[in-house]
Amino acid sequence: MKRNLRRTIFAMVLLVAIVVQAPLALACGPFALESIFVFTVHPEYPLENFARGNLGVVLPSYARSYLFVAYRHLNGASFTATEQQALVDLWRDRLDLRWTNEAENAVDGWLEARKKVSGLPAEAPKIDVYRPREKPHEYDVYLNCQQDAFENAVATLAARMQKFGADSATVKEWVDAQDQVFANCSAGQTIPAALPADADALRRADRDYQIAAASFYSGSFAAAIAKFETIAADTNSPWRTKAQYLVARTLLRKASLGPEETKQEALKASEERLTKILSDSELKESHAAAMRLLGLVRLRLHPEERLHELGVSLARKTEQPNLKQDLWDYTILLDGFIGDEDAHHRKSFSVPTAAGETTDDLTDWIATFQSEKPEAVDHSLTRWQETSSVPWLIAALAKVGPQHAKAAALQQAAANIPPTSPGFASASFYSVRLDVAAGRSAAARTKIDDLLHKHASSFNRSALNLLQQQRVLVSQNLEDFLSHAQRTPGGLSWNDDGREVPVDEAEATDELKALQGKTLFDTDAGEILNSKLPLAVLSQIPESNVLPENLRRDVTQAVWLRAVLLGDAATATALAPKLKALVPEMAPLLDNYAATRDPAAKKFAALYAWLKFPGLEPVVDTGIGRGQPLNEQESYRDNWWCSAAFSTPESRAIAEKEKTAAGLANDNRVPAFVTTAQRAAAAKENATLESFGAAPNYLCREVVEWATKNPSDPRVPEALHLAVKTTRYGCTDKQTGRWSKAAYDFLHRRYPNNQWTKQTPYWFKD
Amino acid sequence: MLKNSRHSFRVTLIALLCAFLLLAAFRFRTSSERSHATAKSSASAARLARLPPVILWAWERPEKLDYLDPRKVGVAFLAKTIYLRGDAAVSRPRLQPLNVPNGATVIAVARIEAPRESDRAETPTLSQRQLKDAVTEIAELGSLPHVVMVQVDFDATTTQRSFYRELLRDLRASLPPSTLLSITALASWCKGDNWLDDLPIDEAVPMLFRMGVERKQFLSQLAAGAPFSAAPCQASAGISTDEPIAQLSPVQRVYVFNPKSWTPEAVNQTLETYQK
Repeated sequence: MKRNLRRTIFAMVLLVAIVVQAPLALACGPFALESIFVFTVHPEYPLENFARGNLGVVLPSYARSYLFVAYRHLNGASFTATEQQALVDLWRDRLDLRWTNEAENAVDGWLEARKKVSGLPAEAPKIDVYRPREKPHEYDVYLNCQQDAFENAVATLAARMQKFGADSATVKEWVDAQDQVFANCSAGQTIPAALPADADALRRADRDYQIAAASFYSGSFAAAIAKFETIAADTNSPWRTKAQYLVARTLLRKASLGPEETKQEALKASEERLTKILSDSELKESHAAAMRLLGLVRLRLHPEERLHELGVSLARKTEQPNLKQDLWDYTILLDGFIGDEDAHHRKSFSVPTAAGETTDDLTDWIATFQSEKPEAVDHSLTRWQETSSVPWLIAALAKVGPQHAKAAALQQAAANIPPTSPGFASASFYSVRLDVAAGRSAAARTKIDDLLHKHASSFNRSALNLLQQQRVLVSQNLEDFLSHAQRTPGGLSWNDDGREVPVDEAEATDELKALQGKTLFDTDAGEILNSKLPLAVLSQIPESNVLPENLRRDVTQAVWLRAVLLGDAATATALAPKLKALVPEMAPLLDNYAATRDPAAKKFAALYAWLKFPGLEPVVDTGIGRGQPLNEQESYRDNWWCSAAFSTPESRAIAEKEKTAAGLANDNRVPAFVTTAQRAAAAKENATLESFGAAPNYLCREVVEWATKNPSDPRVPEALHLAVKTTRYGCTDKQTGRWSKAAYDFLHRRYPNNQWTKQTPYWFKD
Repeated sequence: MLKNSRHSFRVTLIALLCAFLLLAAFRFRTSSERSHATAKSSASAARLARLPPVILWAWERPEKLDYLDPRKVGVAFLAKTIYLRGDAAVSRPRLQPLNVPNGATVIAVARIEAPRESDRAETPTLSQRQLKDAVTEIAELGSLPHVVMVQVDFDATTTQRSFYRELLRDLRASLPPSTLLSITALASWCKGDNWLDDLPIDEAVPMLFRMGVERKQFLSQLAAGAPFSAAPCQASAGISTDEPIAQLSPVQRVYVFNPKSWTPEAVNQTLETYQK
């Protein structure tokens, strides 16, 4: 009895607990791998290839550091191995958002070295290298104490320990003062006290240097400059040479962080000081650091001059010892002048120059190549005619239209570029693009096939895919089209931030491995298949062996369902055996479909199959596509055909924008073999499909209609259940709730005790 | 027989009484929690309602925004990025300059970056130590001048949710009571998912950009005027200048991301598009 009571109470408690405990829906973040057929933000990986001169097709949408490298190679100026490494380092820093915590690591190094000194407090001071600024810049933080400060402290400590001994009071005194110096890194003002005049000369020199450094880190720039000047004038101080440089560095820091009105003055003073150091052979040990700092000062003081100065020096064919920093500065300056907006929003295709200066060729080329302004076309042609250089030839080729008077001359010049040239792929692509756009299909076909067969090694995967995009447009027949519509992606990327960074090998999941080497449909090919070819043409594809099985399966299911939806039962019936062979799980449903004669019953048989196979859709996937098997639901509602529900003006605008990215758009995107009548038929069929709206609405409507007329069909309760399910897991619109309720009501009213009714406790509003 | 019936009756009665007491206790507790939550949420709602209708996200790039009209536009600036690496929570402050006008509504954003699970060497342990360090770092933002809200930007997989729930709970306790707490949210969290329901936050901003595979679905629903079902998601929306949404349902606040530095032109264009 007691046991029964306990059970009853336990059951009640459990019931209450279940009521109280809300269930958690389990859904992971929507991170999806994306196939990148053509890299547009940067060249295809590995970037080392690009640095080496394997440029592929240079696109104007590339970031400017890549365009600089392209310019150099196109001009016949390659990079040394060291320079190539510097370039790759810069790109990886930017693309991987690499953040080196060198300063923090250096802090650790200093704290470790400090442990060797006895008699210090057990707990080491906490050093934070970042310091917030004062009002009105209270949200700004800057790296105050840099790596070299801690390295210098470690070296000095080692030297003083050697001279005075690790246990000496002098060393402990020095470390105490150094702790005070570093206390300024993150906040406040802690200045070590000066030593008496009769103190040991080295102790005093060290202390003076520490006082100057503490003033520098605490933002007391005037005091720091005065102290460093005193040290620089002290011929006995071991810090004399360094102090000269540190005066200039303090002036630069003052310009960066001090009052706005003293900024120019401080920069000029810093520039003068650095120039003086560089002209003094006695200060040779500071020259390298002074040179780097002078570049930074000039970048701020004379940005236009510095830009062109860098443009000239970077374009030189000689080795650049400071390539990474110079290119970093150059591109930052260029971004500031040209703007980093989309091409058609950029401020100008020309870059301002200081009075009396002319622009440098590199800067001019990058700005022109990236510009979509009409005047950039003529400018590129003028520069090509003036220079006869490959970079300007490619800029002009990329810009002119097929009807331009100079187009033929440009194409002739492009034809003279040998396959060994870094410009061969670009010149060939931009030239043949003109043939395609001009409608010279046969010539274009011959040229592209020649490139694909004889010169494929001059093209990377992205560049080959660009050629294939053009080749598809001049395809002679369906088979020809299909052989060029399938492509291997240039890379796979999560691309959740638009940086097109490919997944690295360490991230090779099973999903990724399964995709490697497989051909897929790029967006342009998908668009042609989904909206430019009529059913009569599409239905021939399953007969073809040109496509690999993964693509044949996708096309066959799309064409079969399209035939069903368009009411072409004959075509759908003819395709059923092909689909059955490719998707054996559908065999019983397809057999039933093929065996059914009555048109309405046949349609219901097809829709019943569709309900059970949520992955079926009357369109092909582009890229990686839907991840789940056809008979399984996809977590992100890519079930029962999503595309139709989303033909909104915004989505069309976005798709158009994506297509025009990198100048890849083409006005005539229909393959040459498609006749006018076929285009019209495709347009009509697409309008019919779009009129169905969201697939769940269509399915509910059709199922309810069939159920009303055929309530005794044993499939009906399950079909109604599945129809309601589509409104939960499919792509919906504002009408969906109405249809969900209609199917739900019908199921509950007509089949109250059916197992499918019990499994359908809700209908779904959206 | 009679004895058995009486026995059964007594058992049932006791069981029903227990159930009644449990349910009553539950109802009392929830109603008490609800009234407390209502008082708290009405104060929070009042503070939220005072935020400008358009808030610009100022990410890690130089941003000169001192020309903004503080009555119309607020600034949510990336103040810190916290990297969860192994057992550490490494903080990197904003290193780019930011200028805001006097009187601006300022929101400090902390971005939490955790390596993908496939990067096993760096996989965050999500330990208590990591949680504590991350909370300490983020809570510091609440004391920055004029910061009315702290916003946490993170991507949480299902397995990481309990960590983030605890982090937000501890963060809420560490922030001044008057400082609002916001998170950015995947659109899927706001619809058909209920993990946001018990988070101690004042708002969740559904991110209607970079949605990947979800984009079509959510754009369609937005166009259809369907609001997000999760309560914290209903007052705001996060969009990007490069993925404009023409048919955005009316919300109190629009957060706008710009993949480039803001310019007066871009701000004006944003205001024309989204200012209600």
